[in-house]
Amino acid sequence: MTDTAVLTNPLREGMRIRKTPAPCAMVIFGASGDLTARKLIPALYYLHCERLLPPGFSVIGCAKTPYSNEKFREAMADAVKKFSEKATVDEPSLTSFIQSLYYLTDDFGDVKAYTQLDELLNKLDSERGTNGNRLFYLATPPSSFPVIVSHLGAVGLAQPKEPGKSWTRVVIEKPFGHDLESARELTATVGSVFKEEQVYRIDHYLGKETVQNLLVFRFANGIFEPIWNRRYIDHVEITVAEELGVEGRGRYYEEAGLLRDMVQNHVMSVLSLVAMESPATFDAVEVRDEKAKVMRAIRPIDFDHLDDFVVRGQYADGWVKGQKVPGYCEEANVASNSSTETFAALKLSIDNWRWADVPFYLRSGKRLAKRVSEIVVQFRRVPHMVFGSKTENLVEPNVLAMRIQPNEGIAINFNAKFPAPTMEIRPVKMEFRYAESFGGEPPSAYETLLLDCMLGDQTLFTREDAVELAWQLLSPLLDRWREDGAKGLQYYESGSWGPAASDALLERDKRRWHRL
Amino acid sequence: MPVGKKFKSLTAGELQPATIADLEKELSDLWRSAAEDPAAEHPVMRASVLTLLVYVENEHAGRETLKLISQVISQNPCRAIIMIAEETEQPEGLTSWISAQCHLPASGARQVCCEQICVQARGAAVKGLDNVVIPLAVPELPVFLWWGAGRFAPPAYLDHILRITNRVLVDSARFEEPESDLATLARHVERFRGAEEVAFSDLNWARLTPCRELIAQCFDFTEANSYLGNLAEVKLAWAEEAAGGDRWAQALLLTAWLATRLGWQPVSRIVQGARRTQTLEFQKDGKPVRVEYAARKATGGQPGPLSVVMKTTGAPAAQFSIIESKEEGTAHTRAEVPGCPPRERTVRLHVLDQVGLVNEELKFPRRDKIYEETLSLLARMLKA
Ligand SMILES: NC(=O)c1ccc[n+]([C@@H]2O[C@H](COP(=O)([O-])OP(=O)(O)OC[C@H]3O[C@@H](n4cnc5c(N)ncnc54)[C@H](OP(=O)(O)O)[C@@H]3O)[C@@H](O)[C@H]2O)c1
Repeated sequence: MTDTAVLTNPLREGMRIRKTPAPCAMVIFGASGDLTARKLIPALYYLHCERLLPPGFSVIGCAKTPYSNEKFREAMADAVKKFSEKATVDEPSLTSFIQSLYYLTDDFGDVKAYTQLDELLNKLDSERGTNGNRLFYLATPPSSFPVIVSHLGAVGLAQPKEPGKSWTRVVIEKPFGHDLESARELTATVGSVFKEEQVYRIDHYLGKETVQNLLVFRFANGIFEPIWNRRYIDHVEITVAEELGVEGRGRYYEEAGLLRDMVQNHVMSVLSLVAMESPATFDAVEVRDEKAKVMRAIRPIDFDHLDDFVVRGQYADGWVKGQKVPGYCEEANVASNSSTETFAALKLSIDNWRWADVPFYLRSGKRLAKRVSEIVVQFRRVPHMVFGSKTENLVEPNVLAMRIQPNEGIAINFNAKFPAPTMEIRPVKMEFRYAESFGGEPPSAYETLLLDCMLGDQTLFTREDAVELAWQLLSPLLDRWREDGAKGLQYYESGSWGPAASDALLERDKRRWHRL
Repeated sequence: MPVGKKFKSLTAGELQPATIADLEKELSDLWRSAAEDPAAEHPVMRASVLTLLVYVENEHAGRETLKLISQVISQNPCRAIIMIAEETEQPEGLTSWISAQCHLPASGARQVCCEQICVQARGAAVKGLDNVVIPLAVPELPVFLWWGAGRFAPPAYLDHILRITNRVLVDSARFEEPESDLATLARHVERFRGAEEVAFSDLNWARLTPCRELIAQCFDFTEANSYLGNLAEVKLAWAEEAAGGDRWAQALLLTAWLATRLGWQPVSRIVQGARRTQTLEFQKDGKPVRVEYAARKATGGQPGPLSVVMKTTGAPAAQFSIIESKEEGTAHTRAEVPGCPPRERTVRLHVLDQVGLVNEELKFPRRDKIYEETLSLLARMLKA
């Protein structure tokens, strides 16, 4: 469900630029933190500059650090200058933007603070015309989510101020729980206060242009969907690789690990977009219904033959971009005998008519050979080689590669005759890159997603059932790894493509990872 | 390839009589030589997402356009065909030359190259332009026609070309006679409205979009929204000769847009030639609405930006203003509504240059119904 400006405004009709939301106030819990400074405020500033924020839009930052409005504004102006990835920052619009920022010093556990917040929101409604529309953004450690949500409920801030006329929404940052049980608890706490249509679970990966393009590619072209199934596809690979290590976030990573940090959310989301059926419309309910259906069809991991389906790795020292880098256990705030995974490869099956017997190989890791996210769809070989057995080995199966980052684009490999008197066949590549064809700079994921929240469009946000289904699949694996400790953990050299067991996972099926 | 240069031209041939077969052969030779260029640092990729036709009426304008095209291809790879129609020049005949523009990407990536074909027609040979140009349009991709002549008056020999065009881009800021050129444009839009494919768009309208957006946003507040129907006075002020062209056409478009959206019927007529200061009368539900134009002379080479002030009837009245500041590249908006504190903010107002606007327009090949309605009402304002 989306809403435009709540009021009818004939001047808005047919505007070719993006819709702007109705005036509203955004409350950021955790406003003195890293996410606010690094992502949220620069994205809001950019939206302000581009006239995509409604007039009167206001931000109330809340955190423990005792800031005045002025101090907070100064700190956020600095953050914009430091972290803005786009173009230049100009003083007049920055000055005007920071005037829309307010700050409340509070402890999330203190219920009095929420009454103060209520008063300030009402004041902004009358002074700045925010019309009772509220967006609560939880940019805090996950441990604070339940207390904030409960207090919002207790003081009546979770309900729309004037039902039918104004709206109240809450944005929850990942991770959505630590395992199945905690995810269910969080869902229950949030659900006891907010309705699901008020809840926006943000997975910034889904805000990336190319991830959205995946749906356009599949469902706006007539030639791919008919062959997007087990009759024509041999297997699918999804890789989300990073060059970086834990970058000073050792403490966080020790608790999280790769599976929680990347696979439970980003990789599973991409998998569901690749494998889902066509929704009837590009609408939040339909798209998310289809995603949930695929997730439900994923076969549970076979723990009796775990090694045939899962590889768990951790980076050892090595070389990245000509620099010697330490192993994971040598990083700050990491236990010297830590068994936390920094790499995982999985072979999954989707038990439905479309995908029966088509393996989906997923891999993600830190300190890999390069930063790249790519989906590779390998088609079946031709059923019969008419050009004689000599050419057989040279004829590669067709491959469709969709790159999410960097150099977003799509490439197809096919076979062509090499110009020679004899029948020589060579694979060639046909490639399309978004930047080459369209130029310009796409909006950042946070810009897209913040605007979507304000417009009430949940399509790119994760619904509770998808969160739970992902945990249902992965939670038992995390339990098993905890029991196993370092047993079965494979070490890999930093700057490589992961442990040898990851290659063996595919070799067992007479396949190999495509070179990226 | 010269290091540090962003573009290079591969000139294949000299001026020669235009025949399709020759041109196509030249094009393929050109690509072969680019691909085999041992000095090339990057592999060459030929890319096209559309065909861009440009219509100009003299060679100088054609050469100027070529310079602009190099900035267009980096965002919209295309085959560009520049038609230079010099109906009054001699000797009569059609000649052409081709070249490729390459855009050097970030290191390691491929360079993207696009073809440019110039077709120059003199004297009666202008009637043969369509025979050369139409077969050269890339099959299956949209065709855009960028109108680069000073007057908007497409001659009959362009009819076939117009019919294969999906989108015609004009810039009413450059119209030599804005009132009559806008009227001709309105007639063309009307004429092609039935032909599902041909749409018209105006860079000057695109230039106006941020301002229209800011005006619309003034009425998103509950308290302000109810005043929208009571607007009775609009004052548009600017300094003439502002960069980006003549503001007069822009002021007319803005008025016509407000009138279509708010149901104002033109009562008085635009007095042609007296455009610096005049007042136009409309009626809404029997009540008068006045639009006042106040163009100052730009002094000391300081062309001024547009300011829009809108007032309602009744006491107390509401007032809304959008004041552009060219030096700072921003716009300041202020809404004064009875019973509320004034609401103000400053936002960025990029003024895209002509190429920037063309690039934006090429990305969205949809027809703009609101523009068409605006233009049609503007035609009525011109003859009310
Ligand atoms: N940083 C990123 O790039 C990133 C990316 C994706 C997702 N996330 C997610 O976003 C959330 C926030 O991450 P972050 O990196 O911004 O964390 P952070 O830098 O540690 O910030 C946490 C914020 O919460 C406030 N806070 C914590 N407990 C509080 C309490 N009891 N009362 C009042 N304020 C309290 C802190 O305030 P004081 O410092 O003033 O005490 C601080 O403003 C996490 O859920 C994280 O997983 C972050």
